[in-house]
Amino acid sequence: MGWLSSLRVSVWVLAGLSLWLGLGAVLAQSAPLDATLRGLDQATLQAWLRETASGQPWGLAWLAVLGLLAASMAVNLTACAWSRLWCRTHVGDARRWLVLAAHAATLAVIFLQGASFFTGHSLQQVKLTPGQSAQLPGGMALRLEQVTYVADPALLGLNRRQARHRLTRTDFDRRANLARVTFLRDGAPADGGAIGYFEPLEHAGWRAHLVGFHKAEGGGPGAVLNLGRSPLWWPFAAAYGLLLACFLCLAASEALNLAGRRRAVGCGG
Amino acid sequence: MPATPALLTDWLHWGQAAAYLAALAALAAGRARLAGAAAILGAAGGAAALGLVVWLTRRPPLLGPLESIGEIVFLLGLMALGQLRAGGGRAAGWCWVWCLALLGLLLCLPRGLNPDSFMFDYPWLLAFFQCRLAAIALLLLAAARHLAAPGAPNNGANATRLILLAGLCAFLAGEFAGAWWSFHWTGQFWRWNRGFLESAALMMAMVLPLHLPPRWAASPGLGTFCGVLPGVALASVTLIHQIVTS
Repeated sequence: MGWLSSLRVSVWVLAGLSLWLGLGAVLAQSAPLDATLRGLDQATLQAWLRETASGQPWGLAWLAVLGLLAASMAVNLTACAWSRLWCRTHVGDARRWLVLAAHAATLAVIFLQGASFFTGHSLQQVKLTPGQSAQLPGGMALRLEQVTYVADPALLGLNRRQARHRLTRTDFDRRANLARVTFLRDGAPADGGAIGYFEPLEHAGWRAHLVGFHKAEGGGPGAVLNLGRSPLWWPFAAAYGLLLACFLCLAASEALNLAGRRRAVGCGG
Repeated sequence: MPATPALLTDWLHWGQAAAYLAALAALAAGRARLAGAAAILGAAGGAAALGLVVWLTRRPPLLGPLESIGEIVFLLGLMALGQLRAGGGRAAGWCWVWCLALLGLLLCLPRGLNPDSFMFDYPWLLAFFQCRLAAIALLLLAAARHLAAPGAPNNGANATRLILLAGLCAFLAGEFAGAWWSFHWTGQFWRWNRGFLESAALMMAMVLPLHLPPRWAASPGLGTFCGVLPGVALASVTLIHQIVTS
């Protein structure tokens, strides 16, 4: 049991994860893994495993090894937090409590990140023109009511690289270019309002994000929307915030400890 | 986007390089005060370059080789002065080596200001890039301290471990800001793409030297490698990513 919590195992698992994720990043633009990553980005993990995985053996193998390494890290982290930290931490030992809290928060982040792959729903790059609707599960739908587009119409429909150079703060005011949408439940309006970049509308867990504009068939502007549910966002953000706070407190405590030692050495000298 | 003036791409660039080269030479000759004076000139040049970027673009430096390297070199230059003042001449010397390497690398890369974007007033985006650049500078300082004293323990309370921890904090803060940015933009706080996989890989590489068993940490080879890796990897991956996607 002792080896499960050993630092040597931690180092090997961290090195393995780093290399494997790095390999994924390098291969992200190669044909087999690119398709896998795109698929995973648009579906829950169980849906991808059920519908797509069998046709992408290389992607599935990469994901399986990643899952195995992440599970190993979670086991090592739990064993370490229990046997090395919890069982040996005394009431007044603030630094060890902080280390323990950082490990617990890391475990929470890993768990919530992993769970988020199995939850929620995502519809990306949905192109609508005013009056059109997008269907959502559970009798929900989203209707685009109106587009307020005050920028140069020549900026509509740029590809990603062109947009990087043309959509500047001077030429495109993100607070003035908006879309007005309505959430419908069983065909009846349930909630509505204006959405802008970084200003989504939420109703019953569903969120509508404005991610762009497009030139509709009649030549007028339409909106490009991402629609989705991410029920674990707030727990994840809270756990991540706690993790960050733990690390900041740990750094502050080590800085104070170091300053104290230097003062002691100075007095001794 | 205004044209990038030669004052930024040439004069201040070569001025900083000359100052850090002089600081390194003075340090090698045992003239620490002279090295400090040259390094102050280098940092002043870096501050002027950053000020010029802010004045021209009406935003902090964010991405693209010119802006990224400019801010990293400026921060590293300041940190090297702190090291020199605390008696860490060798660590300061390694910081100047990093500064010269980055300024040399910039000669081979496009040296224009990054194109403006309508998103560049979103505070979480600004926080992501600023934290990432601060993390690179801190982790390169940690790498410099590892190279200056190979095999010195980095466990327990010591300054090198503290700097690694500070670098990790800056990186995590940047990732948190990045997740917030991504979620409020696209509705997803994790994306299965190259950028997110790189970040996760780098996070593991940063945590690794904080978990080395004492004997491994004290090994001049392994301990130093693990201490140098986060800074060099983060700087390399960030710059490569920015060059490829620019």
